[in-house]
Amino acid sequence: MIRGLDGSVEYRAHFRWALLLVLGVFLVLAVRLFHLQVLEGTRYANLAWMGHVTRDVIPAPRGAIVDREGRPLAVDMEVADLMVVPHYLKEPAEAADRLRELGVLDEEGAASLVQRVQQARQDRKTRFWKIPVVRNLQGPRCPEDLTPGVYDPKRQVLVCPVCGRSWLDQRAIVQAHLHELRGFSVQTRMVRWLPEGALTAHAVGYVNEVNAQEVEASRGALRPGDVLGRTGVEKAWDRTLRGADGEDVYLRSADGRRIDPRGLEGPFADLHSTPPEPGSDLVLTLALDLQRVAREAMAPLRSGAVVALDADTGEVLVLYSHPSRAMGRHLQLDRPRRGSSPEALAEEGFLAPQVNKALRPFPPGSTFKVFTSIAGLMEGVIGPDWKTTCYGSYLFKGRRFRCFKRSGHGETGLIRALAESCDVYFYQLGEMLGMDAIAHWARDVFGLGEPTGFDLREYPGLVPTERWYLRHRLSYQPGHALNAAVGQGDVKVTPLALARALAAVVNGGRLLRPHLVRAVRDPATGQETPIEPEVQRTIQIPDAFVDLVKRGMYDAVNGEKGTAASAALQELPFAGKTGTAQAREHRPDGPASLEGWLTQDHAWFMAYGPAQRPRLVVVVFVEHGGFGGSVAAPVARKVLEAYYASRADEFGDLWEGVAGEDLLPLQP
Amino acid sequence: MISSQRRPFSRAVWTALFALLLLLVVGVLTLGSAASYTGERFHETQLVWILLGLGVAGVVAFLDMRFFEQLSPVFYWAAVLLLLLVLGFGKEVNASRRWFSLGDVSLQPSEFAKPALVLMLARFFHGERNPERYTLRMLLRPLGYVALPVALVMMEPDLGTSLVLIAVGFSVMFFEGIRLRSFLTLLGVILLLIPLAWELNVIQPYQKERVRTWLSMSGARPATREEADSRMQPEQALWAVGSGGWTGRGSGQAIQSRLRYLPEMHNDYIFAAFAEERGFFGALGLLGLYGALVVALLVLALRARERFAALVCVGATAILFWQVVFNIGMVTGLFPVVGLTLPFLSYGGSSMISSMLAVGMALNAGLHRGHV
Repeated sequence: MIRGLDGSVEYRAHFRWALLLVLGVFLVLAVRLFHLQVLEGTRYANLAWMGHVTRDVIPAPRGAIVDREGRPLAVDMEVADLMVVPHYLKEPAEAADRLRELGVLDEEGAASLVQRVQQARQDRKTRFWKIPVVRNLQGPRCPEDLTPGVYDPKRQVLVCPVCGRSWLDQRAIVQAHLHELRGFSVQTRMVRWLPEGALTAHAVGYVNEVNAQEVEASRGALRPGDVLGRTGVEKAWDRTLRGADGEDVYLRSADGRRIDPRGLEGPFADLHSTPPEPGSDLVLTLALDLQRVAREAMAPLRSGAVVALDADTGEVLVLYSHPSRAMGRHLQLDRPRRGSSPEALAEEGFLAPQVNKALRPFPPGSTFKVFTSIAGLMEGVIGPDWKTTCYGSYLFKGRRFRCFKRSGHGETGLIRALAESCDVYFYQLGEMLGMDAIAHWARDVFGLGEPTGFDLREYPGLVPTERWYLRHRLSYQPGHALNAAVGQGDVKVTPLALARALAAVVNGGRLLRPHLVRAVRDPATGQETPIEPEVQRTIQIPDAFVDLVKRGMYDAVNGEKGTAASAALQELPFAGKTGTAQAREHRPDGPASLEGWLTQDHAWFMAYGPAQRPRLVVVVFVEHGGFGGSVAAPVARKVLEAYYASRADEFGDLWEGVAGEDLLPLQP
Repeated sequence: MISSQRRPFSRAVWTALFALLLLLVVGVLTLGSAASYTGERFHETQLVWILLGLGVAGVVAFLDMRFFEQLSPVFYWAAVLLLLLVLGFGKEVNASRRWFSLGDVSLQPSEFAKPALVLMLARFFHGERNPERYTLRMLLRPLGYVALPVALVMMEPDLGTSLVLIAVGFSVMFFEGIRLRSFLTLLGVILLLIPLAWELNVIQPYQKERVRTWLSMSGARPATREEADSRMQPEQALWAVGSGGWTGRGSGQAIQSRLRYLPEMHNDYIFAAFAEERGFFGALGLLGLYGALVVALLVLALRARERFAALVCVGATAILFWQVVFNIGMVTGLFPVVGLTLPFLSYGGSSMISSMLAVGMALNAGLHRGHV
């Protein structure tokens, strides 16, 4: 270029190129913007929208379970865990020492904390994850039974008024010192508190967290961390108790702030949170005081069950299986069980505390005779006046069937046969009835050996027929009917089914569904929706026959020679039938200390009271307990006594000497 | 010195000034809108920087070109010296030394390296007497002028500014007239240098990370977990831009901005905030304003009386142009993250003054017709 010339000419071509470049590059940018904003705009807008909307589950509080008087049996309770984010804990040893000083950690816990924090700090990601330091910080309630503690100012500890142990309120201590514990936080969660523990363990059941398979199988209904009822009412009524989880919907900003979508416009305005729907409370039919009486009465015995039914409604007032163990509470509070000797634990394990024996079938023994009697009367095999003579045994087809009274009862009618439990009478009756007639009345009419329709899972047992023997045994022998007539052989019934059948005998022939839940209660309003009694079957039996059987049961308790005479209650008599079922077992896996126990008979007693106006049916089963009249009957008596006491007004007119009427208008 | 003959403002000057004014207004409005999300009142401070910047632009625009021509080597070597010093004594921020700290004010020497390089190149070509297309051999010296500050800036490290320096250097050479063969050869050499720089760790690990992130984001290959983490920020910017749609969410309604998911919202990523609020039409308008400014300034170069002024004008325009392209390209995911501000919109004194300096230098060429 020559100086002095107008430069404009020289660059003209280059200028065009430059212009082209500028336009070209801007065109690329414009195309990119078009692609991002117009073609993909909706997708990015959705990404931006979805990316920042947080949906947190608000767990619905699980409904409480209370007894018929409203006393708590299972309630949600908040417990606190001490957590730490390792990233913020630069000097774990120092913090651990401080926590030891405060009495929150022991030496072992402190060492473990230091080790876990150091390990977590190694990794860029795990160092930000909260880890638990102490689970279930001891709060103001007793760590063992969760009763509120009482402060002892001298020792500066809390003392449990029930068990007497003392502890520090770690929760309060930690809260007070949280400001100096950088990185630590207290996180609360709900656990199921079962204040009655073992007493109602079988009826109430327990809950625990769902596992991965259950979450998978539920198709979204369950989330990890949800709890599920595992046994008892907690399981049977899980849906009612659980309620529906709510959802907390909000926007989360990049710096972690929570932004309420309600104040925003655009797509966010449609977001809304839903409050959780709390699970319904359940009012059980259980009467805690009666349950307690049953437990105390069973305490000296090894194993068994007590069932008490309201004869008119089918409400279960007592459902106690012995022995019982409170497992749910320990599972959830992570507290070790207090130590017992290994022998005692082995023995307890062998007695199957996890099994609800009220819902398991056992040979009912002589209690079954009540239903054999009704079968005989209804089939017309015997008349009310039919008598036989008992010589202590009955020879049938060359085989000797023994009466439990070796010396024999002599001439015996129905009432006496029931009262004194004459086997020979019923052997003959059984021979005349045959297997299928017995099975028809016991099973098809009175529902023995059938599921009762109860809330909890039951194992119905068996009342066999000829067909059953042909199918499951090699052959049917008429001798089977003789055994069945006295509740032996292959007959097995549950205490609950027996109670239901007896209730049907004494309440005018209504076979009721036994039920454990009296009402479903709305936790907010307290409004109760009662569960109505359900008549499953109506049984037509002439009053004369019923009275005859009742008289037999009355005499069994109140008669001079009655099998349960020792348990009789003079002031307000009850009636019942004893049972002593042969049940010799040989189980090589059992502890040696229980070998003798296994050879004993099962002791049964089924009772109703008051005799004049049956209201409560009680069935007591004592596994390998021995003689029903002396072992099982006293238990039933105690339950009935307590029942009377709790309803003194209702039975006021029946107490002896008050009304002055004939106690029993029945004639032999 | 002020003997140079004045000529009235041409249409190109008016266009440039008008586009500049609109850009400044858009910038302040966008910052004001951002203030509604962050609560930080950057737009008020920005007004101060704008006034200061306009002052600088005015002074530079009316200075005599000869003054620049004569002092070019001084500016250039002073800038190189500062770049050297900053490596030794600079304030370390985020593992890089780019700033001198002078009390409350921090000074970024690389901002001055850009105009200094333009002046040095313009002076070199002005002095060349060969009107023919330059051969590679002839370009060795100017290439050296480019390479020196680029190398120093790379060491800070500041990849964005290095790229702008390279792009500006090439722009000036290209405008002056480089042979196509030479240009292609140079391009080939640079393409060969990139993997070399990668292997020799001239490119810092975090910069490599950004490139990998960018590759994974553009779908060139599936992202690893770490990449998914590190692409969080650029991806949020993409979401913001994309969310704008045709017309944008409107002022104060931007989700990404409101929830503070935009990194450096008032600074490097101001375009994302703008695009989210104003949509495709708004972004197109903004591109139009930049286009108008750049083209108007180029027209001034065409009209310049002498080679020096023309090349200064082209170089200064190139500074603005490439910075706009790299910034928007980065925000829209066309390039890896390089960390450059958007001229006239990004908040900050350094960015504003250096952009204004470039405008002043370009305008100078259009305003002065005097001889050097």
